[in-house]
Amino acid sequence: MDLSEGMEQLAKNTQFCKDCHAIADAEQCSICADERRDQRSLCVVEDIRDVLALENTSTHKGRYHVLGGLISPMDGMGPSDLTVDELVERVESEGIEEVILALSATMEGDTTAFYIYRKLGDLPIRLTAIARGLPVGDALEYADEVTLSRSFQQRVPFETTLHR
Amino acid sequence: MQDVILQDLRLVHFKNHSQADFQFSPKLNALVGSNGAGKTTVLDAVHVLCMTRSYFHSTDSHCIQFEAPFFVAEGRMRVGETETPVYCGLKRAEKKVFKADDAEYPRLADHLGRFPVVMISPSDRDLITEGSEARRKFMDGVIAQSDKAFLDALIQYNRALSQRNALLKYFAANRTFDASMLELYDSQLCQWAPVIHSARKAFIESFEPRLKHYYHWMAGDREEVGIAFKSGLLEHSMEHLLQDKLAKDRVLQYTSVGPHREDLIFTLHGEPLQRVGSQGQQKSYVVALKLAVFDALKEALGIKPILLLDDIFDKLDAQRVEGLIRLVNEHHFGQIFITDTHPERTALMVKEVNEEAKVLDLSPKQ
Ligand SMILES: [Zn+2]
Repeated sequence: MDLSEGMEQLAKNTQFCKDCHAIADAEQCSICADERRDQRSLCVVEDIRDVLALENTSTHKGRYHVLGGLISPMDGMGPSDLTVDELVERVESEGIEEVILALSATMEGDTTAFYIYRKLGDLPIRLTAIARGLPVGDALEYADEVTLSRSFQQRVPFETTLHR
Repeated sequence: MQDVILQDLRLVHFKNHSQADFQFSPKLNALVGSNGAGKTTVLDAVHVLCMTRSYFHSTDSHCIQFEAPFFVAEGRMRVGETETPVYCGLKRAEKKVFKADDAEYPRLADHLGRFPVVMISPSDRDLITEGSEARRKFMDGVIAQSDKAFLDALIQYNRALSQRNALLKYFAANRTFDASMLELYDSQLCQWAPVIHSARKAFIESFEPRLKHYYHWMAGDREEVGIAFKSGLLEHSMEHLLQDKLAKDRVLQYTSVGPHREDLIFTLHGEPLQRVGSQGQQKSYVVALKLAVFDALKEALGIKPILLLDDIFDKLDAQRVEGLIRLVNEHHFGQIFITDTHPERTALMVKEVNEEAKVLDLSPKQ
C-alpha cells in the first residue's frame, strides 16, 4: 500500500462523532458516550486538538462541540463550512444550560464567537467565553496547561468580552 | 536625558560582511571606505538590533550573505547604567531568532521603542515619490514605537480588513451577498479605525512644528513647508464611510475607505512638494522630516535615539554639516553613525566634534 492509498484508507475510515463532530473511531466518541459527564454543559472548540488540550487539564466536566474550523473568508471558510447549525440544534434539543466558547484569541476566533453569539441569540442558556489569559493571537492548543485551565475556570459571560 | 548607545557589534554573514567586530564611540562614529566596503550595511545592522528588521529589505533573508546559510548580528545596548545584549539570528528557511537579555519576546513588536533609532538615507526620497503606503508605514513606524495600543489596533484592523476584502471577493465570485456576514467585519473595523485615525492625527499635529523648525534650519526661513493629513475620517465616521461606499466596495471587491487609505501630503508654500519642489528642496524636506522624527521619539520615549546618517553629505552642504556638528556639540543628539566615501572630509568633521569620535575604516586591508 503506497502513501496515497494509505491516505485514502484513512479518509474512508475516519468518521466524526455524530454528536460533537470530533474525529472518532465509532459513531459516537468516548467523551459523548461517557454518561458521567455533565450533559448540560457544552464547550465549543475549533478542532480535535483543542479537545485534547482541554482534556489534559481536566477542568471541563461537560461535553464538547467541535466546529471544524473558524470563520475566515481568506481561507475560504464560511459559517456553512462549520458545524454551527448543528450546535444550535444541540442547544435547542439537548437541554444545554451553558455553552462555553473556547476559541483562539485571534481575530478569526473573535469573529466566530460573535457569529455564534448572534445565532444562539435568544436561547435561554448561559453563554460564556474563556478568560483571555492567553496571549493575543495565540491558538488554544499552544497554551500551557496551567494557563488554559485558569482561563477556563475564570470564564466570563460572553457579552462582557464584546468591544474589549 | 539618557542616550541609547550601541557599544559594540558583531556580524557574521550579514550581507557583505563575512565576519566583523566593531567597538563604537558613545558619540560619533564615522564609517569610511570605498563603495561596496559595507558601510551602509553596518548602519543597517544597527537598525536591525533596534527595530528587529532591516531598514532596506522587507525580507529578512535578504540580509544573509550570498550563499551563506545564516546571519548573526549582535551587540550590547546601553541606556544609562543598564546594559542589554541584543541578538538577531536567521537561518535560511527558518524563523528569525531575536533576543534581548538572552530571552525571546512573546511578540517581536515588544522590542520596538526600547532602543529607538532614526535612519536618514538616500532612499528616503521614496517617501515623496512612492505611493501612500510608504508614507503610512513611515508615520506608523514612529507612532508604534511609543504607543503599543496603536500597534495592536493596526494589527487587528489589517486582519479584519483582509477578511472583509476576501468576503467581498467571495460574494462577487459566488454572486451572493450576506449583510450579516459583512457586519461581522464592519463592526471590528469600526472598533479599530478611530484608534488608528486619532493617533495618526495627533501625531501629525505635533509633528508639523518640528518639521518646519528643521526645514528652516536646513534651507532658511523664507521657505514654508507643511504636512497635511488626508483622510475620509476627518469628516465622517467609519460606520458612515463603510455604509456610503458599500455598493462601490462590492463592485471593486475591496474596501475603499478607512485608515488604510489615509495619506500624508507634503507641501511647499501650500503646494504638493513633489510637483513644486526642486531636487534640493525635496532632499532638505526628507532630512528635516527625519530629524523631526528624532525629536518626536526623544520626547515620547524620554531617551535619545541612535541617529544613522547614510551618505549625508549627498544631502547637506558644508554649512549644514557645520550646523549638524554644532547640534552634536550641544548634546542635542546622542550616539551617531555616519558613512562617508571621503576620508579627508570625515577627518575634518571629526576634528570639529568636541566629544570622543571614532573613525572606522572599512576599506579592504592591503
Ligand atoms: Zn462526541
